[in-house]
Amino acid sequence: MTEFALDTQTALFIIVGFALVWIAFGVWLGRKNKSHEDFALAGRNVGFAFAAATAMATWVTSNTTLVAPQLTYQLGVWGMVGYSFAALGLLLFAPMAKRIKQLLPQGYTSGDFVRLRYGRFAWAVFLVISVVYAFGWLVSLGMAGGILLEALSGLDYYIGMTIILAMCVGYTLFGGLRAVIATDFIQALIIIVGVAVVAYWLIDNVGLTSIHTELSEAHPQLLDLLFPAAVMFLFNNIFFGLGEIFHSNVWWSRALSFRKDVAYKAYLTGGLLWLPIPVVTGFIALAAPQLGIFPASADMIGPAVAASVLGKTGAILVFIVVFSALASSLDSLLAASSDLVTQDIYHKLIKKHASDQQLMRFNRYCLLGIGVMTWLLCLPRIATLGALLNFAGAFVASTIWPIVIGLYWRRLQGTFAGIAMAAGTIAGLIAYFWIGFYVAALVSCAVSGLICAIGIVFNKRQFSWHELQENGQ
Amino acid sequence: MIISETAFYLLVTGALILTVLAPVVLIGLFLKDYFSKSIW
Amino acid sequence: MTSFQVWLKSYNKALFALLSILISCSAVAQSEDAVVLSGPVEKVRAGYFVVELDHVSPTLRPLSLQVSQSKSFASLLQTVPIMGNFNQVTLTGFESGHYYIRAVHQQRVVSQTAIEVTVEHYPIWQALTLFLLGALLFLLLLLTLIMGHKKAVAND
Repeated sequence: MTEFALDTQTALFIIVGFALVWIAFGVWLGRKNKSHEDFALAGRNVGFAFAAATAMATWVTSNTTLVAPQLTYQLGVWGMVGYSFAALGLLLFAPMAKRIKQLLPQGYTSGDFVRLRYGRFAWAVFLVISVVYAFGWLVSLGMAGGILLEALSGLDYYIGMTIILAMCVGYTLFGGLRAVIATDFIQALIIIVGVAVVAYWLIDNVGLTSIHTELSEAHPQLLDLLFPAAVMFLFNNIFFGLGEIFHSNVWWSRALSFRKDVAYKAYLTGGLLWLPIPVVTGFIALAAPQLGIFPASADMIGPAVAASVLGKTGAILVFIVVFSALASSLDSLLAASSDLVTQDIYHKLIKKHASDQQLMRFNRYCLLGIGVMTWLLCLPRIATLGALLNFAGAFVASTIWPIVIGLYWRRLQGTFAGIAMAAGTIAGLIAYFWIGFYVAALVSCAVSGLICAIGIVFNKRQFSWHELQENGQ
Repeated sequence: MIISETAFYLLVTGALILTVLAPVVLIGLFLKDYFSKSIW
Repeated sequence: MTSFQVWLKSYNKALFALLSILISCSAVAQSEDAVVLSGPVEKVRAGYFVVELDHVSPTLRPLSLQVSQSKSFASLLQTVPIMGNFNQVTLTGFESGHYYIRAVHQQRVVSQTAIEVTVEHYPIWQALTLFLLGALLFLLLLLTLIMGHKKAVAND
């Protein structure tokens, strides 16, 4: 019989307890939400502490608590170092966040910018990419929730996944972005402390020397600095991270919600705080062979090691940490996606004269709808988390150049930006299927960049920044 | 080319120390915002 | 539905039942506690792979896998305990080469046959080429961003 670190009853008790506390917190924070701007952008006045914490905590996702250990288990030292390079996304977004706040002081979403800067064609392509990415990430997070509970407590995958999704939808529904940001702050603290405790225990009890010795003897490839697959994966992962952050409304809506002058330093601080975390979580996976832990599937390695070394108390700790990490990303993505649909589709295409209260109501229905759709997509347990995320890399990396050029230069026009995103995505997908996962984002970014360059060379018209200010804004 | 034990040690302990510093920074920033009434 | 279709459907059902019986008979005919291992058929390119275990009777737990570079298992590279009652395990960190894997329970070999897995990493030139291309593209992006930022700050 499998011995799970936690019995199912305890796991259920913790998860339901957390769900109730977070939802109550969401309701309490939501009492300040008077307008749609309050609900979607927390009143555009978020201070430095919450801003830095939310930037960091949202980026600590299933990536860092489940996939970083998974990739370290598969690709060794480069897996964890490579993953920590994803911090570059936050660091490079810092100047962009400042620019976004400057160009769109009254803007709502990343879709707003693309529509005003590049027009409808590029906007349509961008929305398709955003939707594919958002659902890819939402589904991978929902699945991670189910996998986590199953690995730690034997609780049925479907029950775990359902409760996590319902909780995040619950508190975001009541509290809006304010609840998302405030819970992120607390979740960030829980995550860091938990991860540090597990890693310290391993260093203290197992020892870095013995881990290094065991790996060099039985799993030498994991310590190899010239591990071919890992070297190939490195820049692909960086471009994937850049694409995720540069295009996603999760990060744009944060930039727009932060107080003036806070956006730049908040993203910079968040990135620097995030940088060492994947190394610490990845290291947990490297200790596995020394402890005689070999997981059934690689994405279970992080929780499996932590739970087995720390016993029941540790299992509870790990459980809460990973649960917090998942929630801090899931809530952000739910909020940002429903903002995107409310603002870009409902407000701009369906009901142009919608009142503030109508927008807020639609946003809430939308949040609920996205939650239900995510749940439906999580039902078939499609792929391992890593595979699913790499597939999305082809989509998001194609947006890097159009977004960067669009924010700073006036020479690129909509048709080329749209073609760049579409062709980049298609090329990335072809590379994914014909060559391998490790080139999808790289090829997508390169092709899109090339088309943008051609667009700049052939374009004569200069975009006027004033066109970004919509009537009535 | 296998990473040396010293480099491995420095990588992991360095990352752990930086990780532990993060909550200190975050709580410090929060207190600063709280007392200057600029959380939201 | 025509009568022919009805006939075809019941014929298929009968065929399936017969097949099931045959399969279960052959399973019984095999040694009752023989574990069947299956691993990647194609070359492994990144040093990690999944081994699946079938026909594991509960009496064979705890179960381990032995990994060796020789067909005779003269010297063992690793012994891998299978977690709980999972029927698969992910092995990792292998250099290029041929590996043989068999299942053991309390020092007794319990797998029908050992499986062979071939690991062949991507050539390093291919990896470094991709690395360099990535680095160049990244540098270009970084320069674009820095120039843009400086221009924006200057225009403020």
